[in-house]
Amino acid sequence: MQNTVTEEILEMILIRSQSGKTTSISELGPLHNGTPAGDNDIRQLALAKLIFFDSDSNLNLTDKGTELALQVLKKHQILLAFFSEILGLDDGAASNEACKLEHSVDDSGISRLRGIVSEQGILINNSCKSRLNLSECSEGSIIRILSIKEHGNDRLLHDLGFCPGEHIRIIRKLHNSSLIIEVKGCEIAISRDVARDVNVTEEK
Amino acid sequence: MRIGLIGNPNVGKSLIFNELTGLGVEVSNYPGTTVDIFLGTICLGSDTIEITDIPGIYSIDGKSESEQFAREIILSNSIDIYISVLDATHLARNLYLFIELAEFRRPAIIVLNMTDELKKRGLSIDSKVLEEIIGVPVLYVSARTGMNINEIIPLAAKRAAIPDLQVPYEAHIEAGIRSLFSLFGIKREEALMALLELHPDPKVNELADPIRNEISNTFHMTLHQIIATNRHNFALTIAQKVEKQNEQKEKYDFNKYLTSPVSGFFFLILIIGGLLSFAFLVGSWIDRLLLYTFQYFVTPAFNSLQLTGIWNSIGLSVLLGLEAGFGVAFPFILTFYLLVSLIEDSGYLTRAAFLCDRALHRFGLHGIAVIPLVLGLGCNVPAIMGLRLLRTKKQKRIAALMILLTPCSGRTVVIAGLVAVFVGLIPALSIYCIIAIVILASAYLVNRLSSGSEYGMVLEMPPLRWPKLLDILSKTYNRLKEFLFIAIPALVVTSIILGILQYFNAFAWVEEYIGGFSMAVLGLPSFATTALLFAILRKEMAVEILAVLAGTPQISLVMSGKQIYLFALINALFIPCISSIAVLFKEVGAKYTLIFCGYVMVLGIVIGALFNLLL
Repeated sequence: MQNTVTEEILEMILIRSQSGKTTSISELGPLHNGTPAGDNDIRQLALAKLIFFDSDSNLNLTDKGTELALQVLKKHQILLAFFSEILGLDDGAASNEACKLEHSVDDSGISRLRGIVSEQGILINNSCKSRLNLSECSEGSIIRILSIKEHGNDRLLHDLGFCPGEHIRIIRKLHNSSLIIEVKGCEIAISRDVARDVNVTEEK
Repeated sequence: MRIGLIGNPNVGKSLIFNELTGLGVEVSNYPGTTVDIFLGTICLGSDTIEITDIPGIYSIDGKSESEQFAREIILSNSIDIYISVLDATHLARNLYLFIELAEFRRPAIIVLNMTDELKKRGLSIDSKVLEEIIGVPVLYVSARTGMNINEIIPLAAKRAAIPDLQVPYEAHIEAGIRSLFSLFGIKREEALMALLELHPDPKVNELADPIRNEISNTFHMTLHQIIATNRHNFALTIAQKVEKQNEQKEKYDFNKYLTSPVSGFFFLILIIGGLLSFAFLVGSWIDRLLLYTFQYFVTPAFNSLQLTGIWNSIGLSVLLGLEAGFGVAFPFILTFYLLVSLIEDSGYLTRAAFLCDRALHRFGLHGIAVIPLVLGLGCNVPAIMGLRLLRTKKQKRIAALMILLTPCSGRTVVIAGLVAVFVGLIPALSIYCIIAIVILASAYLVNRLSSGSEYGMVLEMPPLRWPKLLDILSKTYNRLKEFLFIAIPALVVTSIILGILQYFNAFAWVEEYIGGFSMAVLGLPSFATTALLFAILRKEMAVEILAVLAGTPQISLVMSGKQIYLFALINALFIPCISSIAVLFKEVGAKYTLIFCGYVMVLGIVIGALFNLLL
């Protein structure tokens, strides 16, 4: 349990620093599992040379601490991808499950899981919101298809080249409605309800 | 020898078919024009070759009507050699269908169409390498310029080969194919069909059930999704090996103005409105010219014959029939068919479909419905046949009713030829507004009342093309043929029969039975109501018969402005013509044909009576 809390603290500092925020002790607040970060845990982390205090008495990760935090975060992302993309849990539930398991799962288990997840062509991403549906993307963006819900027996989308892994471009998006998509060099007009069935990820 | 043309929609297949056989297959610039099969026969040396134009499809595995139809043709072995027509500018996408065909192991050649377009885009395709990879002869053609068209048939007859291609499927699928073979001796192409649940024998599909379920559980995808992805990727690797981008050419893209939220709607109104007024205006000029000719040249010539008795009646009837047919109906039918052909060929309809998609969702339809609706302005019959573009029964029903109410060129003849000429342009346009409201309200009603699933639009937007004048003219002529050679003779015959009946004063009973109702409810003289009933044969016959029964094309002499207005309004609704009832029966079934026709008739009488009271 001790381990869980310290890992959680490291992870939180890392995520905050990635988005450019500093972290003081008071900002750590309650952790994912509900227990507040105690002074004891912080002292332990500092003793293990995983964190240090800077001049503004903000918490910072040492190189060793960053490494450990990244490992935990990676586990979180793999678990999250597994729960949301493969088991189909909604994003909130998937994230909660991932937060619980990321501290107890062992390395060989996680590497198997990573194999399964990446075999499916699912992107393991930093953000929980890596998966969008096509109707949420904006005009002009180039995106990659993750999966398509097959609606009844409709196979037309696949036959037109809407396949997982395919890069497509949104040529036109009318306000809140129909889209024109470029797929394999051809322009295809689709309605919003069709676009909702296509899960995509934005390419950087 | 039997040869079949196969390819995606919009690759110029029908154009090639026309150039090969000289038949008048209609070519349009939106996906899925060819829904019926077209056959043509040509001679090569001493052999007779039968050519089949298979409907344009994206896949042989699809579930649409034309895709199922194509699959049946391929499975039935009724075709010896396939000519696979590919759009050279979209090679990867087009190869997908060819790969599917190749899996059936049928002799084929590849025809790369639109190679002229290829150069403009700075692309080139190495046909020699393609031939080597695929194992069938490849021919560059351009259906638009006619390049190499004459070499297609000789090449297919002499050098067609069975494609030497095998798609490397995902390991689980390959294992499935192998076990289906080792367990039940099912061949590769049949195993694939069984995995896709498409095998004609349901027992074979059942054999593949456990494998199919296991694979789709492992991947959380349907087998079709996996197989389609593998095929697309394979097509892409082939295309990448043979395609070369020589120079980047930025094409000026006018398209973007046609689909943007602001200018798109501006152009939509401008194009449709502009073309409608053009058709009205030019139609009425021709109308006046022809009526003038009759009035000052033909009628005096007839009068100089000085016939007597029944012969005079018959002669006058023929004259009146011709005058009504050519003078009143022909000009508007001509301009409307020209207009519809023009819009169709340009490819603009798909842009209109995109823009109207959202609005049509309110009525349970989606953008594609715009295509049959616009066609309905020309003639309801091909429009109702175009309902096949819609995929759910509910959408078909809603659109069918909308089309049934759409003023076709026949009804436009009555509105333009009577109201616009004798009453005024604004009243004529007001009829269109009333009908538009009726159409939207009816669609809303049917959408609310009928159940059924809805699924949105998926529509390929072909590049815009400048329509070729010759194509438009020949298409218009093909459509006019029916009017010229069937409708006009039928009209003259009807006119003669009516003339004889009138001569013997046989219409007294009509006066008796319809007269009272007609005057009281609709405010129309009995001959006008009789003319309305004749519109069941053809909608424009209402005005022609009206002229015959009134004894003059100058309707304003015998009817008041209000009566003329009511006549055109009621005719625009009332009884659908017999041809549209027939196709409706085929497309939506007896029950809905009856309901819709009854609804439209009652609507005609009710709205007629209402406006009779109001005006």
